[in-house]
Amino acid sequence: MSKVALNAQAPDFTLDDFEGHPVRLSDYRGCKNVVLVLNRGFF
Amino acid sequence: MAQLRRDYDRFVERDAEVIVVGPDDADAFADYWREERLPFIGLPDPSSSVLKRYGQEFNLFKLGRMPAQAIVDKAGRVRYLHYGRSMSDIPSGEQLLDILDELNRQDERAATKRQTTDDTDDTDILRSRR
Repeated sequence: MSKVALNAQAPDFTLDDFEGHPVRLSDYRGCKNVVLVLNRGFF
Repeated sequence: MAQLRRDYDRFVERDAEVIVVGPDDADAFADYWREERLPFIGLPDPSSSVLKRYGQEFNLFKLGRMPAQAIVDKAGRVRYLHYGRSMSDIPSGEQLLDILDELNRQDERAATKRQTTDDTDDTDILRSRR
């Protein structure tokens, strides 16, 4: 698996949002920038 | 998260979507999103598959992963990566917005360049440089 590196293609992923709708990173390609926030947790 | 909520409209103005990934489950996300009235996308990642890939390794004290942020441009490339050294080591909204402004400026310049060179033989060279 490719690693995340600056100026390289972002590794794609799909996760379901908390309402069950799949969200795929590459779906934003060509139309939007994505600010990805990786959280540790809410508590 | 409160800061991201405050700045959300300004992210949207810059053609950006905000996606928050965390290790909590869908119910915890739903509760938190309702309580905080968050407008952006929340992705539970209980198996930490994306967090492992995009985040940093667990720190020495086993307190868990520190927060990290990335900006992916419209071409799908990682243009900004920030690994927090502590829970409070988070870039400001202004910093992220500035980066998006710069990315959008670069996009516009590239688009103009493509237009003006469309009918020349340089297009292949340009493509290979992109």
